[in-house]
Amino acid sequence: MRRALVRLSRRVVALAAWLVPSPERRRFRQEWDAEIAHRASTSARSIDAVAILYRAVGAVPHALWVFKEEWRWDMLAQDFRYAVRSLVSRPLFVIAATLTLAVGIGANAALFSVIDAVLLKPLPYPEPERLVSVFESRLDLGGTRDAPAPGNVMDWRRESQTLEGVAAWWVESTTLLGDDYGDTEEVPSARVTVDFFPVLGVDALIGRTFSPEEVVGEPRIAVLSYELWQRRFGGDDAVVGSDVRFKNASWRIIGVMPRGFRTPGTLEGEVQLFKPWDLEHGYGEMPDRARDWRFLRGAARLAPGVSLSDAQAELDVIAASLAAAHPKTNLGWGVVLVPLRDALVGNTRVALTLLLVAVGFVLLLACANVTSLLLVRASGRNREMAVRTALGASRMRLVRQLFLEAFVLAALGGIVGVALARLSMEVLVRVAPAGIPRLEEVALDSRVVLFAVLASVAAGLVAGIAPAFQGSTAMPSEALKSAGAAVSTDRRRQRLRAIIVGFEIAAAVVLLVGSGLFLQSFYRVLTVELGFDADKLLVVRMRLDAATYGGGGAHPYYTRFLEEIRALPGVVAAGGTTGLPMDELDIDFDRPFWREGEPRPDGGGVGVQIRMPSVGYFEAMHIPLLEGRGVDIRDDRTKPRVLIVNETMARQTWPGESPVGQRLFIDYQNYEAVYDVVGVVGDTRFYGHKKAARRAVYIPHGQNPYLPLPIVVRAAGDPATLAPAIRRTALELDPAQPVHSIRTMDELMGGYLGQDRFQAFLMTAFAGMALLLATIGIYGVVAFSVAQRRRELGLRVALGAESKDIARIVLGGGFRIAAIGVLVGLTAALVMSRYLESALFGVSATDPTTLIAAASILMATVLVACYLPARRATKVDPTQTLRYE
Amino acid sequence: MTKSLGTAQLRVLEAIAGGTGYGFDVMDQTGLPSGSVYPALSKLEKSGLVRSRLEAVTLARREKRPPRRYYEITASGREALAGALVRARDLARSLARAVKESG
Repeated sequence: MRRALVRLSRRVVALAAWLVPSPERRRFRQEWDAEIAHRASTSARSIDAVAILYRAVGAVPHALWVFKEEWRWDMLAQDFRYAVRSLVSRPLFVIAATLTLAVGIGANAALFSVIDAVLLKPLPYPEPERLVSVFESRLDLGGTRDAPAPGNVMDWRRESQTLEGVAAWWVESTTLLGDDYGDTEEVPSARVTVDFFPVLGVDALIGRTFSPEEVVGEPRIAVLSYELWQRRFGGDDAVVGSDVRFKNASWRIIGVMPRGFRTPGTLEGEVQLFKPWDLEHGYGEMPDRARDWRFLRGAARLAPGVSLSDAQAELDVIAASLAAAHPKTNLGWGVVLVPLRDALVGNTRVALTLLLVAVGFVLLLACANVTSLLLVRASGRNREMAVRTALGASRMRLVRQLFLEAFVLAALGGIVGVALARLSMEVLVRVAPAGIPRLEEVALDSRVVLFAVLASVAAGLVAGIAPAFQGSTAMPSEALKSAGAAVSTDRRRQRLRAIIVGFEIAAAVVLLVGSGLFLQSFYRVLTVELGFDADKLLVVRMRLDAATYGGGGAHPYYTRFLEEIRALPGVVAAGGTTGLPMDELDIDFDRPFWREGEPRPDGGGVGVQIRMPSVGYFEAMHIPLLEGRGVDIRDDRTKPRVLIVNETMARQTWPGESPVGQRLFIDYQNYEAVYDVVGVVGDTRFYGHKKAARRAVYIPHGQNPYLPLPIVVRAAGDPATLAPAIRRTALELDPAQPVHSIRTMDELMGGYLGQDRFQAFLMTAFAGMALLLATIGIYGVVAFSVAQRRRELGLRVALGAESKDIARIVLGGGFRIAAIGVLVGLTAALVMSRYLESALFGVSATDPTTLIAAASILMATVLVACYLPARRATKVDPTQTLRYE
Repeated sequence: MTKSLGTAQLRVLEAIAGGTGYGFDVMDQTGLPSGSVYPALSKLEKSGLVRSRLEAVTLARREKRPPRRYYEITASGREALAGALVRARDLARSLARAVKESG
């Protein structure tokens, strides 16, 4: 123990001595070593050995001080000039190295800009770390994140001390009627409670936001977004305080929000208009104050000095007391607070981290290739280094100068890399559709540039370290001989290069495996059985005006509208429903239910999703009818209540028997309704490709005519071409009732596919880069080896070796490295597979097919890379190579 | 004209004047961090206030270790120390006066 400590002390001193310029080094080491040795010999206790180590650590600041004292700025300038001169003399080499590094640094910078915008940058609100998302949570299901209900939000707000305001909002849309400013249009709008702007902490740019007294009673006042103010109202200050017509009433604009203000969590277009919402006014009179209408979005701000766990604890208590006081609606429900940023972007964290690791590998590969290039150059400079050493340059000086060369290359690579990053960022943002939150905030700002600088420095270090030390160890006597290279150092360098290439191959294998897995995962997502035919579908959203169509007028309107649409050329079928699959903005809710003859379940329980399809919906979507009948034109309010169930509902609620002819109770808060089940249809996936279907029932729209009814239109050809005709039809039907929005089903689904597609695309791009770099690396090593061994190969040919023997020798070398690299790579991939699991869908992280495929691709690439050198080797002419002896 | 020495150099000079000649011993005596004692010694040596020599080689060889370096104070070093003492006394006097005057 004691001896080990002393040895360690001496090693520390030896390390520190590295920093000391060589004239001073001998004395430095001698002083320290002598003192340590003396102390060590005069005391036998371990504790004294610890004291010696403690003292020895002081050698480092001492060495640094000497270094600082002896530092000559002009020496650095001289080294820099030398480095630049030696690089300029080899332009091809510089271009190759610069491009290689540029690819690595550029890819890293581009991905970092995405990660920065999505994960790292704080949300655009003051003190964003105090903002939390508020969800209700089903305790018996282990904690879910469900939307809060109005009654509960009002209670939390009133009772919580730890939350400085609880806000709720709902995103819908508003029609602005045509006026001096523009045509009739629908814009996304939000109804926000009184705490919305205070919680987010952003004040109006012009005018003001809603004051608490103003919100009561929901007067017709509104706040504009900056974008809407600029786009429609031309940035005119006079708009504030004036009236604008929405639908059938005039509303007063009282303020404009600043540029870049975002409503949390809106993926589909930023909210343009804010209206006040008084929950008390809307829901206070309802039974149980609508405690089980769980559909809001909620956020809150922690009071100063309160931690998240404090607030969570308080809310748990409040939720428990609510559950006790209102068991019918709240039994089994809790509250969960999630930091707002996590709630918005949390599920992208794993994927983005994986991509960051992958792109880091790409940079390492680039550095490895540049190291290899530098090592080759080093061999050509043996004599130069030997001369300089003989003339008195210290090792450190040579190392420093070689490092400078690497840093200059890295700097050049960094500059080109940033330019490449700028280009690829444009591509990235276009390729990654909705599905990655906050993507609009991606920009080449100072943080990204700083990252690029750091990456360049790191690249210079990594790429330069081996050549710097390797390149400075030429033995002067050997190198100064005229017979050429110093053989032993060169062989060592070749071996080093071979090892480096081995690692490159391993890294490429890992990335190939990752790419293969992500591609498969994406494919599984794409091909999952959705339950309907998503091809050639157009989604038309209408939001009927309550004043005109309320009280049942929606049914005849939509019936007529659908008939008109079906008559259009190019339309194969049309139908509508609330609760359209993949439609985020739509109304979706579930209600408690029970079979006839069973008791009512307590506390709300698991609900059934309720949709209201029109005639022709199932047909338009190609949802199969499994039993009974679908929606009939005669299903309206005059007839007995009927509904159609989906497969999952049928299977889970009536196991083993047919639900047709049975009766079902549904609880709607203020009343209960009983329905006859008349049919069973196939399941559809509603919340994206990955979430399985849940229990759902379909109540004919005629019997429950909701005002908003998304319509699907199946087209014979390209669905987008039908849009103008449909818009016209709507306006012909009612000039004050324009279409809210038209999208293709593909676009809607793009939002759900976005993340998987993004992952797969990037991972494959990185794997491709890695493969390319590894191929170049192998080619370099093998080609060089062949060039070095020309004499040996010539000899073999002269002694009777055939082409295939030569080829085997060359290829054998390459394959040996490759095989080891592949094995290491596969092992690494298996080790890392655990981290990939959560990002994959439908495919295991250790999928053997992928592993084998990756290994095969790599071996094939090695074959290709070795082909040229092998061919060249077989063409070796012994009369040439054996001439110079 | 000797310019005033820093605290570290002063303490080291004081220790050497007192006869402590070897690096680690100076560290022990002054209580300064090990990384600053040698730089102080270096500066003192450059200013000519101390000089150093290696100890007798035979002694070291007998104990099978490299010879240690021994520092001793020079005449100018003694002068510098005396000068520092004078300055310290002046400072003490004026400080005492200031304390008395400020009550």
